[in-house]
Amino acid sequence: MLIIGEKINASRKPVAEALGRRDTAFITGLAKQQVEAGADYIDLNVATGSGSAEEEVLIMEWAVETLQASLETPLTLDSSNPKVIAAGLRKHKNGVPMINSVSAEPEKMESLLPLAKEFDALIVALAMGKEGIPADDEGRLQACRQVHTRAQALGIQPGKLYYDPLVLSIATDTRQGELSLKTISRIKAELPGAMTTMGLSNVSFGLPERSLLNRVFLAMAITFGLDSAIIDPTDRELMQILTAAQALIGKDPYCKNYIKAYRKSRK
Amino acid sequence: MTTNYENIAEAVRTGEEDVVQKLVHQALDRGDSPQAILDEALISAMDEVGQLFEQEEIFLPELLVAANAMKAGVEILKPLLGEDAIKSYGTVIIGTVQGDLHDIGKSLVSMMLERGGFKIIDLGTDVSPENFIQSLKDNPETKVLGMSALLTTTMPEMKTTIEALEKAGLRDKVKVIIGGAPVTNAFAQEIAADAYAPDAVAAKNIVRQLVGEED
Repeated sequence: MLIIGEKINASRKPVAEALGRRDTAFITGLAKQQVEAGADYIDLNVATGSGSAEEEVLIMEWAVETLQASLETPLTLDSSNPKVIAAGLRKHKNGVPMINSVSAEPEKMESLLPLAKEFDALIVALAMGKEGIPADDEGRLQACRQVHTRAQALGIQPGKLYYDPLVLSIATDTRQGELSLKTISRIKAELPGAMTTMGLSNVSFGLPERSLLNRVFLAMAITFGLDSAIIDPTDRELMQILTAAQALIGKDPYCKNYIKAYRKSRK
Repeated sequence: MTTNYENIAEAVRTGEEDVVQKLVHQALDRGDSPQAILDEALISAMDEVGQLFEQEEIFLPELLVAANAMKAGVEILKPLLGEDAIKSYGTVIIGTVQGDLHDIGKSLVSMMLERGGFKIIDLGTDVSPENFIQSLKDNPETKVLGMSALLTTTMPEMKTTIEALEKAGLRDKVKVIIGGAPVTNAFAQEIAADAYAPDAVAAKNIVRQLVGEED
């Protein structure tokens, strides 16, 4: 399971402020905390909302250089602006970079897939096109197929792509949970070699005890073939569920990680 | 408030559409005015539900169910009042800004405002400044323009839209209120919006203040 640590996101106010004042200790600390908790990738979203696109490029360059100075973990470059992602890729040195995210929108595919090829990057691909999030699993599959086809044409291996089935809240439509799960299993079945990833927390919007729903949803998604998750790895209960679910579905040889996590928790 | 209205409020809160309809019919048979039933029973019940939602006593699915139950009651009253005769606090145009497809929060605000006595023109998501302006021109009685953005990358569209309003000479015709997860009061001031609302219930109250119909 590829764990992407979600905490360095400028939509969180303390992060936006830290990025604004180029606070090396804060940003590096947030990354290290996640790596120690089990993150394989550190997501980096530096769009503070009030700055210009040029400023976002500068912050992205600063954040990539700063993190890599003291951290070996590769980064997930997260922006809706391909120029910001390109800037991050050029500064990225440690391991295989990851792009977050492309979708079936032609402009996105044409700007980001060639970059992914050039930098040999992993890519998060959202199961949506220009018209927004498709209402059913067939529509979402259609979007994934378009990305899959275009990526193959560019010579990108299918396993480099992590498709995100997208998740909406069950509070306003109780079919949404099942829809995302069904989309995961169809991606795994119909796009050979493709990987899947997902952010969880939308599913519980508007409901009490959100973390309970998020945890159970993660376990269910793992059952349906989820390969990666965009989560807060410092959430211990969530990580426990992840480790246990991986062992139960046969993705933890000799239950090694499960036992290791148990020993770590006993200390 | 009479006992009957408390019953209606309770039925709205628990989302029992058929009970709401039965009680509204009873009140009409008794000779209550449709306007009084609307204001004192249905709208006030929904205000109360909104408050409970804000206090996390009830949750989003319950809010939606209550809104449907209230609508069931309004449907009975509508033909009696005539669409235009329903007292309205005014028209509000609302939409999620260009490049942003988030719908839930914006639609919740729409719903709360509509149930709170406003006429709502919901332009949906991914609304360009031109579309906002066209809608304002088509509906010159509009008092408030609401914009939602859920992405830090689409927040600047709010500023763009306000600037476009100024250019079109429409800025002083409407009050502008903004909201969405990454949006803050400071940002609202920075882009010279008139108000910021942190959630759908607050939005209803603030919009009432903006049009001078404070509770």
